[in-house]
Amino acid sequence: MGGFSFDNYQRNKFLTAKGYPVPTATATGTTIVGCRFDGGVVIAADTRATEGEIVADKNCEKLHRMSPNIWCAGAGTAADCEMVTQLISSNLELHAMSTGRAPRVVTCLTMLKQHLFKYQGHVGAYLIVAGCDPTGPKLFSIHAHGSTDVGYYLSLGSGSMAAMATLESKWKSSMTKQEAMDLCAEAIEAGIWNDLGSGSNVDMCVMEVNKPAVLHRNYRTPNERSIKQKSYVFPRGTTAYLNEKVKPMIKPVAYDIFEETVTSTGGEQMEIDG
Amino acid sequence: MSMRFIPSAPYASEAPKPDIARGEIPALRDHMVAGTPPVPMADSLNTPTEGPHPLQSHLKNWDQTQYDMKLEHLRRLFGAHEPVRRVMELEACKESLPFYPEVLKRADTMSMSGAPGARLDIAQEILLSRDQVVDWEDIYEGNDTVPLDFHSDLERRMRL
Repeated sequence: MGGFSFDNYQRNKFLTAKGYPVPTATATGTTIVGCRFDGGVVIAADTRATEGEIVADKNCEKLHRMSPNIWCAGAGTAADCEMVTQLISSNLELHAMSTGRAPRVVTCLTMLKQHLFKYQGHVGAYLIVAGCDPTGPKLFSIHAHGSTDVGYYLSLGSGSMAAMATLESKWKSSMTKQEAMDLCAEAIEAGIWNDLGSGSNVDMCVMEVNKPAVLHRNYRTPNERSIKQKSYVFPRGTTAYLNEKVKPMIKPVAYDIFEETVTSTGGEQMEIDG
Repeated sequence: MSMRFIPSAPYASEAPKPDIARGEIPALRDHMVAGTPPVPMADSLNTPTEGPHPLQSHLKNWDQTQYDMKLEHLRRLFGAHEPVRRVMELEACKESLPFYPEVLKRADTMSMSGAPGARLDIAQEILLSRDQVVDWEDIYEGNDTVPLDFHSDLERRMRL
């Protein structure tokens, strides 16, 4: 039933009533932002994936392609974000082929929110949808229960407060592309530094009207691993040894050598096949 | 007929009202007189403690609720004949032999109905306007919950 199995629900409920501990919900950490500028829209995300308090992936991808000109940044449960965006991306393509038009961002938004509403928040995907369609650049955000927001600048995830502080203080209307990219990168960096659930690098996707979307993977890498002060590569012969015994891994095979004799016919040149 | 687009909760939302015309008076049931054990009221009113997950019935009835609302819309817009015609078309389609175009058949995922996977007949899908939509059920067909016996379960767990 839509990927959900309720087989163990009754059993788990019984065990809970008996006093067995219930697994607690795992808090997820992410910072994603989106910002509109004159003639386009830009979205950005950090690249840390967490499993509880453990960093599972230092450079994961949180920007998903819905259609060539619509991209989506996902926060919340990573697998849910990934699979929901893949499914809606397929539906969007089917819809585009059916209507014979380029898909619109509102179409993508409606498909996503209706799907998420159906699952009543049990599919934990919090998304920022952005893109350019014939109606212009668009920016929306969707929560797991299916509610949506529209805005010139948006942020989601556990680092959304830090990112929003940056966006609120530095955003201005009618920005240029570079200004919007810098603002988004700065907002994500605010999340990277101030939110423990976010970290590593900044991914960015820029969508401009009548231009192909450009994905800047690792647009900023503020957490590059520095070179260790001490090298742990030991020179050859560091460890002393008392005796040495070399055992040949390949056993020599006895074989006979046949003498090869080349007979020359004298001064005549050898014939070469044509 | 209602315009519900969310499946209703699988439990009662209100207690049965006494029928005053038949001489019932609104009062607590006298179990001493009736000779019945007291029934806890809260369980039947709130989410039943032993019942299934609320999402389960929600998902199960989702498509039917949406379809019912669509038919109700059509009834209000065009009159009763429109939903009747559509349901009859669908029923006729279900009655007829399963038809699936040869070009769309894939032998490896053929199901009992002749269509690939667990999908509906293409004609039914068109009538339900689901022919342009792909959903989880089309990918995950729900056949993965085959009960394992003890030995195969252990073999799987021990990676034998």
